Amino acid sequence: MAIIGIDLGTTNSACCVWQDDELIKVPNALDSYLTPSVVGIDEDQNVIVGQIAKERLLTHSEKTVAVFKRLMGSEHVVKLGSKSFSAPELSALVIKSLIKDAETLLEETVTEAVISVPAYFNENQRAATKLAGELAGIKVRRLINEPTAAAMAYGLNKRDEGTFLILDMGGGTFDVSILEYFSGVMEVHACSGDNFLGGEDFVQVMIDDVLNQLNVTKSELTKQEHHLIYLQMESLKKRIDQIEEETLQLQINNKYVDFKASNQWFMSLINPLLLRVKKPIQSALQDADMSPSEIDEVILVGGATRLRQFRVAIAKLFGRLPSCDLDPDTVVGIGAGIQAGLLAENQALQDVVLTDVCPYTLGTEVLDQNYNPGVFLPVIERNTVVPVSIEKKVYTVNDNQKQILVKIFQGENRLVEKNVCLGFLNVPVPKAKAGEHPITVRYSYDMSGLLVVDITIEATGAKFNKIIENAPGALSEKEKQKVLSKLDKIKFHPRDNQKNKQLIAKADRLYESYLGEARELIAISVTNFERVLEEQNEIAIKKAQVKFSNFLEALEIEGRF
Amino acid sequence: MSVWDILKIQETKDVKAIKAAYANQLKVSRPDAHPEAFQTLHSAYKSALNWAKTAPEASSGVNISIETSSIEDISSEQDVVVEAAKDSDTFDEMEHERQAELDEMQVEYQHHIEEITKVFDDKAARNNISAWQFLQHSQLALEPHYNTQLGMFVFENILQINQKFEQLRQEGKRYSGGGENISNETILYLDSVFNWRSQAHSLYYFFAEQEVLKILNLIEAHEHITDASYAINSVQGAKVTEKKSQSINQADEYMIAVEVMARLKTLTYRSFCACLLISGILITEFLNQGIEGGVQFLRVFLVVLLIQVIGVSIRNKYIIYSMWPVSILFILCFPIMTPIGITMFLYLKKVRVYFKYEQR
Repeated sequence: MAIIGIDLGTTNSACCVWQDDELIKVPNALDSYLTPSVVGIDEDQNVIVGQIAKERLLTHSEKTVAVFKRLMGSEHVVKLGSKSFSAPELSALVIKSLIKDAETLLEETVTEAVISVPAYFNENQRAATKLAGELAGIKVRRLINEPTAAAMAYGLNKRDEGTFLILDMGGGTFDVSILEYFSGVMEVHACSGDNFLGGEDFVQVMIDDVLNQLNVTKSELTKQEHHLIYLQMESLKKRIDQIEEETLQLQINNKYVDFKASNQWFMSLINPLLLRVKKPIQSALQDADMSPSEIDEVILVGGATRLRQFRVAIAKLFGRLPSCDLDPDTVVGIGAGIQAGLLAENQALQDVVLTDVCPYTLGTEVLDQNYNPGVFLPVIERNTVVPVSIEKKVYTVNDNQKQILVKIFQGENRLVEKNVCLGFLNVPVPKAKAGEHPITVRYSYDMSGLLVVDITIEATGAKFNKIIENAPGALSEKEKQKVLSKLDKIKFHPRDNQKNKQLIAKADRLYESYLGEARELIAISVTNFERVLEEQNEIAIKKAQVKFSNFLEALEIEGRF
Repeated sequence: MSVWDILKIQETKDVKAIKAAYANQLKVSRPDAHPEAFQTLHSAYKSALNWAKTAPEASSGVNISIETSSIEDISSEQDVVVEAAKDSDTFDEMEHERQAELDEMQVEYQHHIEEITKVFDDKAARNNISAWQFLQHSQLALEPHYNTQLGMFVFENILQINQKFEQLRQEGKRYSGGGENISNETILYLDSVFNWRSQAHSLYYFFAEQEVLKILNLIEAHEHITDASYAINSVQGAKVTEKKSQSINQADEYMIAVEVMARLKTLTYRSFCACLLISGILITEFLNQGIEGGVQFLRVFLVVLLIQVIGVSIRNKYIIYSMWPVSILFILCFPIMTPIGITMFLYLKKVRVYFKYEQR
């Protein structure tokens, strides 16, 4: 009966658990701490999650999907072969695979989890994440904000007191959090962010510009070609710091085209994205009522912060170098694991308390002085410390009005139409003169960042309660059961021999990317490897594995794929 | 209960003591276990901190003198550091490099200023987003100092051009040379480079308050929300499709409005069927009195019916509204038509609500 901490990322996911007064990172079947957030379906209708699925993105792109975290909180559905999945369902499959890893390691069942979300995730996205956990068959004890999780990992690791500014740029989201750590108290002062800015966007602008320069549109390319360019750009992004200029061979419409990529080109391309980093940082500082000089340390978290240009831009903003002592890929998972340990009331964590804030202003729609509708009335201001419960009174505007439509909004604009509508509640009111009877609207926001709205009609004492249910993608209890049984029926790709399958999938991918001699070489190696596997000699297989994996790695580096 | 009672300490200006007390109390009222006690504690902590930071010092004079001397200390200390470092060659080299870099940036900055002036002067190009793209791709835009400087310069130009344009417009003349004012799109695009809202205080300092407010409001009003449609592009692999949305949004509000309209339509037709029935009786009545009177009445009635049907089908507010006097006429002048008049009157009232709703 363990509680695990899950970092459900855009590109990679990780899982950690607190056991016997220390934190354990849970390795997956391939002995890696990171499981790519990629889901696919194989020929036998089994689900594949992680590295194998990632390798198959190129060869089986119709049956594999990545970067689906960006669809959380929306109504989109992904079609994998004959089945279709929503984003929470896909996330549930990733969580299920992580749970299986944890259960193998702990040798006990996992029933509860803490899942990390970007601090700037809105209500709908949070609800979707919680739903994903429930669909995976576990109880979600808490949603923890990613920068807060990172700060916990840092604070408890170094035991340094002070004020930190955490910049978390992952695959798809950018978060800014200002935290203070003193005497075992981890206090979040403010947070802000951009939900559509991350490492994937850097690759996307590169692809867009390449296609633009070569005068081809995305629709002209086959899926394979597009993904190939994606892989080349992704790998180019990782080593762009070490090169001045490089000529890439791109495969476009079955022809090879040379493309000159330089450091200068890359810098100019990502400049607009780096400009977007400044706004949330300024907003967080303003909300925390702090100046950059009051920040003791700027900490970088998330894979995308490895980019040198990003670091330089941050250094310029703060006039100092940011620090990144912990592995930016796993630090959020570690923090989630610590939070899980906290909730399990581990003795070693008794003296740690965490306080967090809500990232958005939450409110309702009212009329202005001239009775024009559409004005936003904030109930809980952004960056209020949570858990919090605040009530506001609203009045009827017409004589003998029969009902009031209470709409629930989230956002910072003065007008509701620019904010996100989370749902609505239609409550009947007793007949009376305009403005005679108030109704009380109470917003309660919990530590997971989930909102509950209570409405009381003062005259009659009638109560109405709302846990956002009109939210996009929200499911009723009945629907939830249906999805649960649907996901239960789906069989996972067998856990054993994953290493072999991953190597073969990788070989398949490389085979597609190469032509000529190299192709034949790969084909021969695969046949050789498969022959060894058939012999079922443990030692021989181990040896062949090493040889085969080295061979593929060498190919990969040589070809820059 | 005072904040000090909640924190369980004596009144103090020592920030450290307040923090320690807060930390101690927090272990008792943990936010997840006792949310209400935690809120009280947290607000007590915040007000205690605020008080400690802002309360007037008893010996403020002394304090100020200490502060000034400490600043001097620091600056003299820095001099020492600089002196010491200057001895080494590496420092010279670094300083030299830095200076070169700064000079380069200054040159770049001048280039940018020239370029900006050029675009602003070019009446055809200045509302063309692509003419401005060099700013977004410029390394200088990432330097906080230069970003602010350039932002101010651009802002000033926008204000000047738009003011001039406004002035000429008020005088009833077209802007000389057929140029245009700086469009909203351009302003929004430039804001994505300079983020003017975060610099509002300095803008207010340099420019007329009303003008600045106008532009900042414009930026806020046109701010767009990045939504899920953007997300589809970044998903890799299998195909993504959109499920029919159940949530309410702008489009759904429109659907509600359409529904209201549809309901109104059936209402209208129903009332007209009733009209026809009654008019049948009326016509026979009139026929008894004389054919001419009956035909006259039928004509009036058909015209009213036609106007109504047209008005509802093209949803023209004014055509439907023209029924106001007719309905009142019905109520007041023809005793037999009073029920029809009243039905019409009530339905017109509902139409009014609908049009108010649609305007939004």
